[in-house]
Amino acid sequence: MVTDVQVVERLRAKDAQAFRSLIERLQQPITGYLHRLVGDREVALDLAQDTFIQVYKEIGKTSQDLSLDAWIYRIATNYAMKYLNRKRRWQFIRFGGREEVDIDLLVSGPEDQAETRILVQQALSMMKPEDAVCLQLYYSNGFSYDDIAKIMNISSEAVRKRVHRAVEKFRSVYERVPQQKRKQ
Amino acid sequence: MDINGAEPLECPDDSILLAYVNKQQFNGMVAVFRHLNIEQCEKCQKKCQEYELFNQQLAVLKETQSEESYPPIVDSVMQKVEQSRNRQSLPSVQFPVHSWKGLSGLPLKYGRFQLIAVLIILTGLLIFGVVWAATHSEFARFPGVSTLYPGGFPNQGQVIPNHSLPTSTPVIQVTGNPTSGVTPGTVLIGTPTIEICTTPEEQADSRIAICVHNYPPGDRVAIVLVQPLRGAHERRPLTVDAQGNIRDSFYINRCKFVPIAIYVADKTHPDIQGPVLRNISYDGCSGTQATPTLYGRPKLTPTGSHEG
Repeated sequence: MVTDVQVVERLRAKDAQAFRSLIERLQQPITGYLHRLVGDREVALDLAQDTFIQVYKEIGKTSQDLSLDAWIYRIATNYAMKYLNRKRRWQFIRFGGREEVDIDLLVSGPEDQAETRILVQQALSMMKPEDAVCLQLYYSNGFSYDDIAKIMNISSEAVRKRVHRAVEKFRSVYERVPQQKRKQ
Repeated sequence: MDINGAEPLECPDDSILLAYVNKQQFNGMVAVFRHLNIEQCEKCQKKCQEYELFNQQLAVLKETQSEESYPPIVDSVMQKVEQSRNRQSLPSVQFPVHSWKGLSGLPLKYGRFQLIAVLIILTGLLIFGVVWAATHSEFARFPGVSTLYPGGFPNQGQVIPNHSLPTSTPVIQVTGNPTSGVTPGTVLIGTPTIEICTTPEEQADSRIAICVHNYPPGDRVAIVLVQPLRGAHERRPLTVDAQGNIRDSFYINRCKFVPIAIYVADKTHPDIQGPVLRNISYDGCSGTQATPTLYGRPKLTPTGSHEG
């Protein structure tokens, strides 16, 4: 995790070059993180833009000892959760349930990257968004449980339980497909 | 067995074992270290190995994410930032503000969601309004404030005083006195009459129809129902056709709704007092004999004979 006091200081001073560097460094991981969470590339790009604009706006209100990356991921997570909650409400209004994994789309061999991506996305979509966030932050973005606790504004114990729950869910989906294929 | 010879503690929770495998430090680690035989605990070791193996599979999360490539957004973000700097202030954007941004700036899928929501709500309101209007069109008019009983509705079985009803003999004031309210030159085709003209179809639908004749064409006239429980109330005014007729119908699904009198109020020429229809019976129920109870009689069967 980056806790660069100088970078934060420059950002707080609205240094455009520092801000540009920050976006260049974090755009791919943040967008990828959002993409995994919301399941839509265009929406993820949009949310990523909003995240960085929010960073620019709010950085002046933070303290110098800010954990910059965790803070930015927190903003991104809030955007993603808001989007997912709204989407879930719409699904409820439209009498739609959660998207189920279409087993026929999944094949036993995860060698194919596209199919693996579909499988990963489907597995993530089947778990609670909060659990998916913890799973993503730990396994994809390399945050520790304590960092995730700060990002999610929850206790480390809660992170531990969520990560475990997400892992079990992911495993149940990820390992189910090859078994079903083997039965055929 | 622990080193003090006490009974071995239960294996830690799976989530703790996963955190142990992940080498995460937190309060729950105490449970791991208190479980002194963890290295020899077959169950714990098995679980830990499972998680270690699956952690390798979970690397797919990082791999698939790093494989993705997204177009740079630096320029667009900086452009927006510059714009906001020029305005000296960005619009107040608290955490996710997409809810209202979708209609203007966000991709179509945002706006589409919101437009669908608005359409659903508007459609719902429209349907509700139509249903409400339809269900109240017949019955809701009945409980209207009686013009005959400004102090309230009569009690059950109370007889409506005759003086409150128009005279049964039509009085037609057509011309002559301008102050009478009747426009000079009003054309009366004949003596106004009122009758029950229910068709079998209406009868089957528990409806009763009233036909009024010989009123000035173009006049706005309203059928007035006098009911035992609810007193008198006007129905929606209708326009007299070129032949001087109007026709109106309404539901009579309980005896208590059978009017004891029906007459016509001419809104255009209030001085015209038409006849009063009395002794109305409908499907075995008589308006004059109606003994309304709290719940009334069961719904009438549509097969009854028409005695209007």
